[in-house]
Amino acid sequence: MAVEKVTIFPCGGIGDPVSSVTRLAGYILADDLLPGRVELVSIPPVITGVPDELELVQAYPVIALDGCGHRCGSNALNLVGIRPAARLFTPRVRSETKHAIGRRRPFPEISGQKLAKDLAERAAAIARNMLEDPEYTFERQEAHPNPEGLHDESLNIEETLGYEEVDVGCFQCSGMCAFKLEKDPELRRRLEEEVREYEELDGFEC
Amino acid sequence: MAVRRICMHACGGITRVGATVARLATYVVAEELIPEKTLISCAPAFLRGVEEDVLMVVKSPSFALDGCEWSCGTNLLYLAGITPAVRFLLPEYAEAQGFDLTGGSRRFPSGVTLEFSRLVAERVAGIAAGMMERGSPYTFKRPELKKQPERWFRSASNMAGLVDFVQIEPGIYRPDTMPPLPEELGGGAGDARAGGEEVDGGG
Repeated sequence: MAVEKVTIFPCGGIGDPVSSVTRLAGYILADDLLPGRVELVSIPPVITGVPDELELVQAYPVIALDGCGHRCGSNALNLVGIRPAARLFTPRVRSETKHAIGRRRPFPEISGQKLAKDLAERAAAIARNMLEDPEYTFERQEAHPNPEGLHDESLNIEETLGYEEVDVGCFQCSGMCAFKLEKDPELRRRLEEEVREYEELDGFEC
Repeated sequence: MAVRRICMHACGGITRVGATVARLATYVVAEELIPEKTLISCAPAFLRGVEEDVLMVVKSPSFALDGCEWSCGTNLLYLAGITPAVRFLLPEYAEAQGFDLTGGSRRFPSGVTLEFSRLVAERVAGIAAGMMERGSPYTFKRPELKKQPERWFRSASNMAGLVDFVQIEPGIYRPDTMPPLPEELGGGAGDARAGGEEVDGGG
């Protein structure tokens, strides 16, 4: 059946430099790789209930992009009773690609930009499978307050969502349709040739 | 109690230019203007319950930077029973200061996004200096964290019907239940703008 669109849900934090990497991965995916087919959604408006943002996580499969061990993207979805269709876990991806997160928060250094591309490449492969595979199915989800885990980090979110790692850093959530992850050399080519890396931005050294 | 640190609470959005301004302004305050006296609240980590991110909004007055009219920075605190000391509504503040954010980048710290974030940061630092200076009349009472999931999904533009604000100047508000800012009392190190106009919702 495939789906019309896919939603990407980066952790969107601010204190840890990794959140700038996950945010950039979301922009690369939604702006450069699959524009019009992937929608970027922020965490806070889903909790506060901004109608358009809430609709995007209900109507389409969500790829959660967790930046660090706190797993805030997954937790935020769980707080509103939405199960991610897929989850990428940055520390696991980084362990394979060896691209460092870096230390800068306003915009990642070159190594962090490369890590963002690694994440975007995986997210794009997953999203394309959902968008194009006739065997991929998705049923609309209804958001509802699920305060288990609110301001309570003791909740084991991996166990709660029943994550299973299907490829390095790529997780399937229990109860959701299985996705396929096929590496696509064309995606890598586009990332390398069309998505520019910056050493400096308006006076900011990257 | 006297104020020793402030807590910056940017809205946490990623889809609009205003949210990027909020995040960049937070870094300017914390890394350049008043380092060591600024805590950075991470909205997703606050929801997750990361201890330091919960404690900082309870122990220090919060500056909520809202990147759009949906006011998620202020609203996320409100849903946890916490009222910010000051709220910036960035699109309104931009217009009042002569900045056009329509061509700004949400992705890159550049152009008008970067220029305006510095102005916001300087205004925040001015208010914060008034709160923290020796002998400041400003006092802060620690709030208690509350879990109020029954209030979720009732988003209202500009917090209308949820919080009433006193307008300090266009784009800058103080919730009417919070203490007056030093500059409202005619003192403090920030730009002195005495007075203030009561508004419903703000914006």
